Amino acid sequence: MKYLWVILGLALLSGCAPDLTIYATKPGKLQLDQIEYLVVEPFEDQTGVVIDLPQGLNVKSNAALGPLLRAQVLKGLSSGGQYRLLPDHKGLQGVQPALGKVAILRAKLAYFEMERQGGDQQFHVFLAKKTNTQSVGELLAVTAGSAIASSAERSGKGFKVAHPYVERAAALQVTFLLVSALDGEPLAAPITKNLHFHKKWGGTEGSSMLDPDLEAAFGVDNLNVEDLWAELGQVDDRLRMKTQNPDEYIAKGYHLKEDVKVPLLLSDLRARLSREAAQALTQQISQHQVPFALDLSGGDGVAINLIKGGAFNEAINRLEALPAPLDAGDQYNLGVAYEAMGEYAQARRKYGAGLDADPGSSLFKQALQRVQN
Amino acid sequence: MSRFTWGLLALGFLAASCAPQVQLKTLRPAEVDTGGIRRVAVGPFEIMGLNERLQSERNGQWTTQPVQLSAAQKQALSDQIRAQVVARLAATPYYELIYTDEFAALDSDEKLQAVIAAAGYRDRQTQAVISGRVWIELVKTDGAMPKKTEMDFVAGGRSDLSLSVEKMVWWPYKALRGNLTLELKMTQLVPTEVVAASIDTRRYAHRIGGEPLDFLDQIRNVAQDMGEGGGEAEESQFNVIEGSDQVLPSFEQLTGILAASVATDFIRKISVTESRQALSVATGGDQRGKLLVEAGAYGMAIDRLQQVTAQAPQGDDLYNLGLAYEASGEYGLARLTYREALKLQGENPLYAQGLGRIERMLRQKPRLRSQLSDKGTK
Repeated sequence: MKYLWVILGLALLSGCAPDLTIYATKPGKLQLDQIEYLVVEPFEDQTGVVIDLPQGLNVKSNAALGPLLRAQVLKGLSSGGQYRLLPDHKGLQGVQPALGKVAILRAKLAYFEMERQGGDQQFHVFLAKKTNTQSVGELLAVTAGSAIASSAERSGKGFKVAHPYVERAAALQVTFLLVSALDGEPLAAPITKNLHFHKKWGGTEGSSMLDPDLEAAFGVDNLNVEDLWAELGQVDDRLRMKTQNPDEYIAKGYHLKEDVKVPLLLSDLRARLSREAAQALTQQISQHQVPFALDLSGGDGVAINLIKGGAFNEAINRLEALPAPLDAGDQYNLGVAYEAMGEYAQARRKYGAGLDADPGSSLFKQALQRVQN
Repeated sequence: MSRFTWGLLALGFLAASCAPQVQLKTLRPAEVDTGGIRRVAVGPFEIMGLNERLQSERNGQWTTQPVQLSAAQKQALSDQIRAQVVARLAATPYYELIYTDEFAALDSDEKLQAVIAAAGYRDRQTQAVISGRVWIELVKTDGAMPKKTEMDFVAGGRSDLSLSVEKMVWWPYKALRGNLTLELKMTQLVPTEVVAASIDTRRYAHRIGGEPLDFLDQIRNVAQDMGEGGGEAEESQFNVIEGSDQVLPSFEQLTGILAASVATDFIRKISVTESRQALSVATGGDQRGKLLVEAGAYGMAIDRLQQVTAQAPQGDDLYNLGLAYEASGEYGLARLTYREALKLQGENPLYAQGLGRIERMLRQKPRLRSQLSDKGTK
């Protein structure tokens, strides 16, 4: 009957999903106000170059990722919308932009990837057990039998069976440099990003084709972190999208099968690493969208209902019409409604007022930090 | 418990969250403003990486057999992906497709950029060119997974002996994993500018057979089974032929499915698109009014529900009336009606969602209007 638990678990999880996810536009961390146009030059792939990993270890680059990474960067800049993207800074048709307003983005990168397929030999001892044990003595005998068998397996006795495995790893090191098209002077300090991914599917757990130290280094900040809870938390959102907005569901590719038992490919790793590196850059130099999961506080039920339904204006009207002073929950929800509308000044005011009323509140402190920039 | 029973349970869970629905078509503004561009040509689709292979595994020994594609086959593959983009683009009324082979005949993005820079093209109608670059990796695996399995033996007769025997069982499986990464770029000719750039990856992984799953993987699978497939929308967009879960799609089929998804996403970025929404109808209240809304007879539904709500205002009737207004484009009236419904039942999430929809629509309206007047319709 455990299948029923699965279903129940899923139903419960959908209750844990955040009340509201909003997308806020954040400016890039670097101030590049004078730049209007951006030329993204082809990225330079370097082979045989050292890529730094944690714990002082490294690998040498052996593959190219330039075109893919460049495309990811272009995408981030295009959706950020802060710059006009030019294919080149000379030889354009139409009005030529003033060179002082044009920046050139260059990058040097090193990429390493590794793939092994094989079989790990494991030892197996097979037991026949009596399953309808009646006395404590019989039960102990069965337990002892299992213990003896597993210790024999560990010490290398028994039938040898090859357990197939697939192991893949990738590491990327990239340095971005932004220079002025006018004089070639750097506009900001170089931005460097190091990322890596390692995973083994099947075989003996804990063993690896990599050198043990290297495997440990890959394990630190490994991008391969599976978060089952986060994964399942999305299920509810996606199912709602599937019934309510099937076109978007398909456009995002959520309808495609994804069986986690099938090992990822090297191209999955390439896509993942290049996307992460491009995101890191976009957050530095361009305005970008950040998702926020907001949880509402207790308070006026109708207003909470309105905010969850996406009717922020209606919720604001309702909450502002309540007799002052608002209690903490309503005050917080009012801030959330303004924040979701993108009216950060108002949101700041509301969160600030909440903090004034209750200076120790961590809820308001976090919210204020969120809308500060 | 069989897969069938799982499916039933999953369905039950789904059904609980599904009420009768009404289909609405709404316009969705483009994410990237492409200015006054109306006439677009589709340029080259360059294959940057292609790796298709068949592999098999027995007793930890792997053999791999790459699928070699001839130049003509590669061209066909690139044409197939290009056709997906052309088809999506032709379906939006806001761009005029210029059918010229001039740009597509250039075999790489680099050459295209050079031709644009030198204004070396004859066609003078085109305002922008869409070009693409694609990376594909597809792998079919045929293998067998060993797993120590306890098998129950029950001795018959008078003996009360019941035994379990451990055996090594090899569970054969077939698996397919695919990754398609497609970069799409829209370059305006004069003044030269990359108006929109995007790159998206679609993955697909499917395994048939294999060892019994542990508990966590079972949870994942239930979640997957529920999310999988796009229903009617997928069938109408991709002309899917009803497939079976027990058959792996061919490489060509898979490429088509993956490319179509990325292309749909890109078109939604650069163009005003019509999107279908399925909205829940309130089930309480006047049944005739509800049926009229479900059937799409909005005018009759409005007449009926106006009468009903004038005599005895009820939340669900008011909501359905609002839905009928919304469906016929009367957003102001819809908003007033949803508000009245909410006044009667403040905690009903359905009513609040109605208000939220109208608010979002009104927020998007200025953008939509400017994008539509920029482009006009053909």
